[in-house]
Amino acid sequence: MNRVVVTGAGVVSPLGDNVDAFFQALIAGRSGIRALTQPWSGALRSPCAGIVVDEPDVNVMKAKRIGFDRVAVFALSAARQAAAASGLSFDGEPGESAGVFWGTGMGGAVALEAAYRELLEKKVTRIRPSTVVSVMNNSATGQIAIDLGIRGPSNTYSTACSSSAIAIGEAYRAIRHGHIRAALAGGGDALLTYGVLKAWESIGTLARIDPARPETSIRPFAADRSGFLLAEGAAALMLENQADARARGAPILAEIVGYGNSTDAGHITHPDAQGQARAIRLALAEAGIAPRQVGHINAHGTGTRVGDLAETTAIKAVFGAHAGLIPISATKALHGHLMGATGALEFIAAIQSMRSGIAPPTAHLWQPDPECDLDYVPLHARSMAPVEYVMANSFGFGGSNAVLVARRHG
Amino acid sequence: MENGLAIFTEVRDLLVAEFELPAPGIAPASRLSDLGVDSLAQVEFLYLIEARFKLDPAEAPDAIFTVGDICSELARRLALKKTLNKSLECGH
Repeated sequence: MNRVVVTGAGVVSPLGDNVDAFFQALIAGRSGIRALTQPWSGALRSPCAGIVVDEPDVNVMKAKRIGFDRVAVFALSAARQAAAASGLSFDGEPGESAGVFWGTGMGGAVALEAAYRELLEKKVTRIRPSTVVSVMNNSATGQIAIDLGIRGPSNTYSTACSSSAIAIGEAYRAIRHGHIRAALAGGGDALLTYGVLKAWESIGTLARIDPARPETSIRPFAADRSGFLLAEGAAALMLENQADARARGAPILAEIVGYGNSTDAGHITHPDAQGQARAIRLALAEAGIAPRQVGHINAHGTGTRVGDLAETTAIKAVFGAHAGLIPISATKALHGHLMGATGALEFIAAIQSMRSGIAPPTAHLWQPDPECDLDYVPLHARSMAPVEYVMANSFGFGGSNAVLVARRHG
Repeated sequence: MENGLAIFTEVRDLLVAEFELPAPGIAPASRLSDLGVDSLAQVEFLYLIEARFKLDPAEAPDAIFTVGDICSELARRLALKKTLNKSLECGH
């Protein structure tokens, strides 16, 4: 079995377009939730979201960019950051023994909605020929592979909120078992369209907007929580066989040591604490560590009534008496729910927490819920005792659970 | 619009507007591949031309390699549209 390390990371998020800006905003408790300004935003009950204000310039000529949805632009920017930070080149054989493992919930949602508007509102008879390649779920995956020259497997995972955690987990396994030597792994979503927002509004998981402080409307684990707000962005990690990374003197951010993947097989939306606990146990077993060795958790923590309670129950079930001693951060309070990007983004947050020794706050947790009674690092960032292992939880609609464990390196 | 120069100007301006290509580098003999317009971009561009000139969708011809080829195709389609309109006016 090969050991697998992270040698680069990249972020496009409502809290900044690089890893440092993102993590500093988390530590400072700065919210990336803003008011939507599109003409249709007034028709939404919760007209706020985690918005990427400036779309990154990926410097691809327009004629080549016609098949790029907004999500592909985010993805390419995050992927390039991760690859550049790692210093890895994919010329020749290294490109053939590397893969892209990418998650997305809704693929090219912006292009899809634009096409439907043309067809249904403007009654056109023909839509843009680039619609298919912009909309398909593996569009960003393919564009990353083209841009970086990665010619091994390029796989796309679409498991709602756990998409990019699963992409990272599967990439980790592919390297661990020797199928490939390196992988660009992560995920992206750009789904702030009228149709998508209306669909989420209807299902009733979006947070009520606090009129006085709209940017604080996501309140994970709080008694007054009412759900999440959607967000957009991308997050990417460069994973490598540890021996290769060491041989070329690459910067090593962390080692990935465990991945647990389970399915509730109970209900399509209602989370099941037992299914989540199983994923946590599987990740710990693969890491070969006891629960008490985990020093920090980045929670899934979406701020829904049932979700936060289920996660609290799952953590208690696995960690027992130690559960109350672990600093647990729910960073969605600040960046929102990035769907296909969220697992990777929060795994990066967890790694940065381990490296810096600082747990980001669970922001807006003014009113603790007596049923959610663990240490959620309320309101303010906190210095931690040295953390050897960190965990990130991602639980998606469809009952898809993914848990990643990373170990401090060096 | 039957004028060849006028058609070339329209095509060039559309290439500049839609694909951000530098106008001085575009000539009738310019190969699309040299301009960075690949097969997908070419199909997209013909669609944009149809939209711009309100042409009925048609199957893309096989032999389009240069900007001049696009101009010829546009001239042919415009002539076809004119003939069709004329015959409609005559009540056929």
